[in-house]
Amino acid sequence: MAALGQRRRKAGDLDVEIDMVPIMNMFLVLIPFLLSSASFLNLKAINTSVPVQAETASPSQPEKQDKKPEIKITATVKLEPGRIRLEATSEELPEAKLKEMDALVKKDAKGEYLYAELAAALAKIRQLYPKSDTVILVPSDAILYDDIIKTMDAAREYGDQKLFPNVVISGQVQ
Amino acid sequence: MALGNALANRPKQQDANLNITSMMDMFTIIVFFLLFSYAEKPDEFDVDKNVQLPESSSQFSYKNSVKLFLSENQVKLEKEPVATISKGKVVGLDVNNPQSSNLYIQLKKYKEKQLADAKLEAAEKGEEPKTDFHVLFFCDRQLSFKTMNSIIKVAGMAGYPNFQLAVLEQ
Repeated sequence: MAALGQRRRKAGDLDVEIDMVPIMNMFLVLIPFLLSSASFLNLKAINTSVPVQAETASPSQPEKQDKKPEIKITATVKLEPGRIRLEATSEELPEAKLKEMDALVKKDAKGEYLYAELAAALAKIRQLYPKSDTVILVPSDAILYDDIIKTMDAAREYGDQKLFPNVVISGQVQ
Repeated sequence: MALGNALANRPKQQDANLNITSMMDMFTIIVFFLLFSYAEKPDEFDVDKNVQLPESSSQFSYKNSVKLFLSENQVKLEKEPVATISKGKVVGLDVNNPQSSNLYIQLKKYKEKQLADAKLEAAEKGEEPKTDFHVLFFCDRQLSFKTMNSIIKVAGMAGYPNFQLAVLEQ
């Protein structure tokens, strides 16, 4: 193999070296410029809206009431200082049945809301009534924006399970 | 002459040959990485230093629309300050008559401008004009809901009932 290699190289061939110094200079200018103008904040968004009056199915539709998976539950999450109250509302279910889905989530010793408990309660509703897709978030005046976002995250997914994609923010009625 | 001889008799120095190929490879990778990360985010904007965004697991991308920056003491529409916040209240915002506030007037103006631009654009393309505009809120994580809610209500009344909340990816 070595002999073959030697044979290929002709006597007159010269080693040509490309001068890479100007390219290096250009890179040295480009890199600080790009680094200074680059933004490493990865920005995302949460879609939400203020409540809009919507048409609901009239109660005089018995064939729809029989189909459990067709029933839609609207979960109302009341975010209060010290606790979160979850209430289920639907025109298609009796009051007693809705009460069973209610939950109360408190804060832990560190003063953080137990968001996992809230997500578990919402997952239960979603499992029973898969058509449910709306959560109305009702925060008290003193609640911080950070807690609202964490509650929205808990309402949107529980582990790998997708929960309520529509989160509507509503102020408390006084 | 003696000095000349000494220089001439000195052993010849060899030219140092620095291999910069590996450094070139590294720089090429860095430049391409930076150029691609630059291209992915064409609509970057300056987030106010006073606005500390919360972190979220949300994976939705933001849409480029009207941007409202809410810090603990100021409200900015795009880059223009439109209201000040004092003790959690928007100064000059009358809850019973929000239409008189500067925030409402500025948002309404912006909406009208957006509608006019959308009409022009639609006329050029021969399509229906876009009407579903929304606000992208940049709120400080320590802001109370009371303050936020009053501004959200004004935005809703000015023609922006749908909005997005900007967050940082977890």
